[in-house]
Amino acid sequence: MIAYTARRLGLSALVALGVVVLTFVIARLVPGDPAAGWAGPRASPEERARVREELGLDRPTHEQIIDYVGGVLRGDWGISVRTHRPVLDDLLSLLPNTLQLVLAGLLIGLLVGVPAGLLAARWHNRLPDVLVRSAAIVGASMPVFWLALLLQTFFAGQLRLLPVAGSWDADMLAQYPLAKVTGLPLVDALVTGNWPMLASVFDHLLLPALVVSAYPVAVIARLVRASVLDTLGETHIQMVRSLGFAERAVLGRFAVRLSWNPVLQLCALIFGYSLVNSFLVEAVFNYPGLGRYAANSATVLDVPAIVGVTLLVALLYIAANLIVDLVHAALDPRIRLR
Amino acid sequence: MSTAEPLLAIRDLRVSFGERTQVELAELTLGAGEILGLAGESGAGKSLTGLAVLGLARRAGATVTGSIRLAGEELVGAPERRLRLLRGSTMALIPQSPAGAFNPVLPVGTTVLRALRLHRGAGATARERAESAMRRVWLDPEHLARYPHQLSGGQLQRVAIALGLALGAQLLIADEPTSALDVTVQAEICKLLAELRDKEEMSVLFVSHDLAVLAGLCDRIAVMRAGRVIEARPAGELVADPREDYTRELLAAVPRLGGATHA
Amino acid sequence: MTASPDSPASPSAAPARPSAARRTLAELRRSPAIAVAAGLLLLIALVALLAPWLAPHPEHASGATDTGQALRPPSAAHWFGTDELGRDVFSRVLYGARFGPTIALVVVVVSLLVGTVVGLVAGYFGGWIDEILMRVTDVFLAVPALLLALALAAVLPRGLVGVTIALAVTWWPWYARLVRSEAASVAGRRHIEACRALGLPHWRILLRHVLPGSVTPLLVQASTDIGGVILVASGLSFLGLGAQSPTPDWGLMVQQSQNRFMTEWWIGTFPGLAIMLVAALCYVLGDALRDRLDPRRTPRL
Repeated sequence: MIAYTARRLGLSALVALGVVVLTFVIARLVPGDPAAGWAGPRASPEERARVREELGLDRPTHEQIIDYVGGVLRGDWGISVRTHRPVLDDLLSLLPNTLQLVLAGLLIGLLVGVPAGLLAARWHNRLPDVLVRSAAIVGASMPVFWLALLLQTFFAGQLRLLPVAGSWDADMLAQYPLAKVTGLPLVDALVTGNWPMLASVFDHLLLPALVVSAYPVAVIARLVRASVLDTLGETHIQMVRSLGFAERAVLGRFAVRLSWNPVLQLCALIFGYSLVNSFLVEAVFNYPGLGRYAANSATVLDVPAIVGVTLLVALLYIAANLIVDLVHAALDPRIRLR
Repeated sequence: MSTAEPLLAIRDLRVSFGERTQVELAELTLGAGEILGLAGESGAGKSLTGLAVLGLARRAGATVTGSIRLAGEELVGAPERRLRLLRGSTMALIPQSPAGAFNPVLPVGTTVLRALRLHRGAGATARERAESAMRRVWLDPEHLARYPHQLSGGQLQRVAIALGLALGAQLLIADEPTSALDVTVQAEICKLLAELRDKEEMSVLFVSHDLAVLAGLCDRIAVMRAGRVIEARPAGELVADPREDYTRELLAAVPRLGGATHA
Repeated sequence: MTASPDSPASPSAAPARPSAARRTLAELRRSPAIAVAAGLLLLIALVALLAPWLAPHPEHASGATDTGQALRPPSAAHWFGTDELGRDVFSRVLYGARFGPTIALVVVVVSLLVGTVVGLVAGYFGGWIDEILMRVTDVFLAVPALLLALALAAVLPRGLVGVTIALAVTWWPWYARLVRSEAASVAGRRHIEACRALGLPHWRILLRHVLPGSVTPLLVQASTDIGGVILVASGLSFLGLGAQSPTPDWGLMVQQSQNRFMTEWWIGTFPGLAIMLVAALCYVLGDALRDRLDPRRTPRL
């Protein structure tokens, strides 16, 4: 287990380093002279030369890469052209909102997807199965921004049940300031007993989280269904049946245990996918998170910001994969007890 | 084994998949404290007979007609709810491959305890029952906490038998229980089953293609071919003086008859 | 069956390709889900081709406006209504079939080619070549698809070409990994070793004996992926990083309708529905192909 952890950590570090280099390459893909962009359109050739020297663009590429990697490691992720603030500060202040949205979507995905998958497997090729499968296809093929607009129009616009946009009531925040504990607004409101803010944050989170959850629900239901159906032919399932367990218990208490690991691994994939999907959702709900930041940066070609978002999300994704693999190893007795 | 009603009585049993009839048994009985061997090549319908007794043939897509009586109770056509109750508590399966017989991510004891709670309700006695059953199959109760991959094939097979014992099953349906094990372990399992028969009046329906194993263990042997029983007689008699050519062929296919039969 | 002249001595169980192809066709005919999904996708391709003749107002796809007819709800004259510039939404949705789906098709084909070559080389030669190539794919796979595409599309010139390149760069590693595992599992088999011993050139062994094993999983994956790429491409368009106005790209149309969605729902609803329809058909096709050809594999989606 220790050797496994060490190997897995090393591999993740290597991949993370690769991603840093990849972002360096992406930043250099920008057409034209980066120094010209930095110095502004009216800069004289001398000024550009000075900027080029300042940015280290006159030195050999490999030195630039080493400098860049060093900067990233030291927490120097550059200055945003748009907000004129350090990119890393910008990102870290927005991350909790996005994380909250993604985790809420993932939670809904598990709470709805696992039972739905079990239901479909239990009634294989019958009506519940057909319904779950169709719903999963629809859920996975809906453009997330479009679903966001539909739900926003219906629940916030037509029914006026939920707020249209934002992350909380600004007035309410003035009255009930939110203490910072974990950084996730929902959790902070909960642990500090700030009920009015909790309600406000929850109301604002519900619709975006539902939209983000469409994909997790769909893929988790499909995976649980497929993996449970896969195990049904195995001897230990036959054995449990021969012990007199009802089919519901056979699936829900025995077969489903074998889906835990595939579902767990899928969670890492979903986490990465939802992180980026939430970008589109944030754009619709005007929800202050990484996505809105990335979208705004992309349209004005704020290269340090774009590269920063890419790097941060990729690192989060690598970390999620690492955690999932380690949890997987800890959960599976065949690996843990080797 | 001459009680008025045998523990298991099969009459006019027919198991078919669509048009194809796989099993056609006119009569087959098994008394309390008896081990009945079911011999034949693969595809002869032995395992399917076992599944039919457990009431699991129907869910595999087969049509079952005729009569299977267990302790006087008709199983064919019985409601699924009743069958579930009988499965485990009255009859239990000893599977073919012990390696795959337990959920790989659960300790084997979890399955045992869950089954005990299902049939005998919640209670502190469940653990005791499980542990005493383990001792009856010559296993350390500590093994209940182990995962399947930590136990050997023979140990797993004994846990499977313990499972039946703990639940109070009177009939074990053993589907080729020894064919995946090596010879010494095979002998050990057979010895265990014989002891359970002698000491606890356990009945066993022992399905195997290996006449040598059957001859050493069973009270009676029924030879199946193409879904029918062609010969069913006391084991010694059948081995010493087979009436059917097919039985003779099966016997001839056993290379070490005489050597390994003194289990 | 197939004694092709250049597979000398035909080492034991060389895959019989022509009969495999024929069997595939026969299988396809037996699955209604495949027939329906593939048929509808072909129909959509036909719509894309014939858009100029099918659309009631082809001029609305290329910049022409009709402000007198602005914001009309769906009617007999305008089935899907009109947008704020009076353009016929139905015509624009029909034309939209020329953008998103085409981009997806090109992206998948290009990624397939690149990924297959990388995967074959890595899996077949193994060793340090394999190690380097797979670590590179790991790096690409460590960035979620939409994000990598977004970053690339942001720095590349705006427009359809930029999006296509960005997506292709994002997608190839999936195929590389898939082909590599198939190729690695085949590479050690005896008939491949026999071919090597006989001195056949590597490229011929790769094409004739290693690649065929990967075709089925690739086919299944590619059909599903076209749906996935359409969704990602539409997301980029929605963020303004793909097709530019007045291109009737579905994602862009939804984005342009965003502020009117609550009042003039039809402008954005129909293009979104079109995206969903194409993506769903691709998923259904991929699922059905998998069930038919490759039943042991669980879906990735």
